Amino acid sequence: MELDHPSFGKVKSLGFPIFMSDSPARLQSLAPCKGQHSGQVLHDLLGYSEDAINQLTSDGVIA
Amino acid sequence: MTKALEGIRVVDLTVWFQGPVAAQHLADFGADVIKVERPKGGDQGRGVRSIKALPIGDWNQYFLVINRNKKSMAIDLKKPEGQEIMYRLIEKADVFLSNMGLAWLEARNLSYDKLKAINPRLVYATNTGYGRFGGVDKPAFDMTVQAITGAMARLGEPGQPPIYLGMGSGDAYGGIMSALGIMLALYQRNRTGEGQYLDASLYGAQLFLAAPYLQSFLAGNAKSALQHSRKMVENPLWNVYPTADKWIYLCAENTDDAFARLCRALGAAELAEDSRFQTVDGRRAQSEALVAALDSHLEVKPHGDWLEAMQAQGLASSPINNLADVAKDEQAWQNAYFTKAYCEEVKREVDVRGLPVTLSKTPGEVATLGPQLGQDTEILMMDLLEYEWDEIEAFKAKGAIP
Repeated sequence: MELDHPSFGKVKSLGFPIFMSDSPARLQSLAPCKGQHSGQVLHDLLGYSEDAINQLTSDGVIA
Repeated sequence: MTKALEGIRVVDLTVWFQGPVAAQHLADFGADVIKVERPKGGDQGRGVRSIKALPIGDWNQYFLVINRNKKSMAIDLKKPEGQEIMYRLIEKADVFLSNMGLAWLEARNLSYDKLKAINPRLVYATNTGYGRFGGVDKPAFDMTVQAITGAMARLGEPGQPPIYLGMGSGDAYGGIMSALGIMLALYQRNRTGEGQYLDASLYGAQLFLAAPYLQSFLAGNAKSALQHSRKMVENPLWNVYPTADKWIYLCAENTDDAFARLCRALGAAELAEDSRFQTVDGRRAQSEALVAALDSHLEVKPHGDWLEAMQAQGLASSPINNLADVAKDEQAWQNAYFTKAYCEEVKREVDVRGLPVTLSKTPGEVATLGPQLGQDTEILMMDLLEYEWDEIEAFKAKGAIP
């Protein structure tokens, strides 16, 4: 199947080995950039404040 | 001890390898797997000796290992009465698994629509040869499928015949894909209360087994489709080499440091100083010469000496074992990748493939090897399907069960 990648444009990727009638697999994105979702996960999932996240970033704990 | 899949019942209408091995993974971890077989001869895997195509040994390991931990019912599904028994089984089942053709299932009134109407919670799983869509419906064997994946064509020395992986890899991997699909659908069903249809094919599984090469080709590396010679490689430090006794695989990055360590391991001071091999690019460009030089160095001592020397230099390498080596490998036994089971056929304990996944609280188990054909037909008809004995006699009289 084909997918748009932010840096590489259109890329061809292997699809899925298993067919499922009601909950098919889907390709939403290729592998993320390193730490692309660090802030989002800390904020949305783990409930960290913006300040705490900035602190962790400047301390080099997360990137 | 509790089992991971306790309470999950699987109706296993499969023959030969891919289908049976999928259900075997579920049975190993505690699913109640009921193998449904034709009364005359049962699963063709039982008669694998008579076709004399596969090396079997003194007990039928082909059938007995992938059908371990299962029960067997013999039912003639061509008869309406046989289908009636099957429907009652489906009412009590969580999963229906079959690697029979779709037309075969349709002819016996076992289509997805039919079984879903009986049990909406049912997970209906098929194993096709080439996938659910696209219309290809020719006989599928491990070899016919592997042949079209591109994997065989790129193996072997250039100009030499293509190489069949030769380990039933498509069947085995197809079985894992099928078991994975079933677990996904069961998880979804537990959330929604609704089963679904799923298919895992030999073709799909093999393409994913070939994933690294195939994806490399998709990404534009045309060379990844071609046969490659071990005598001329991108990185001579990542290659197979002969020793005085067996081949070894060396896996080191093409860096100056790794090359220096390799030369120390080999005691090859002249290689370390050879002007052709001083840089990453030099080693790549001169790979034919470097491989030849490494060949002649490594050929003079047995692999054990070299592996020790390489390990001392922090280089990863492995002996290229044969099956006799690995069957003795303590590491594989310690992890239960091999285990022992009692075999009725030869009345002794035999060595079998064990469990590929290690669970801390609910480990798998090999309790029994494959069942006798139809050994559980009557008991399951009474205890599980709640037929009266005179009904069972009537089914026998009709020839629906033996």
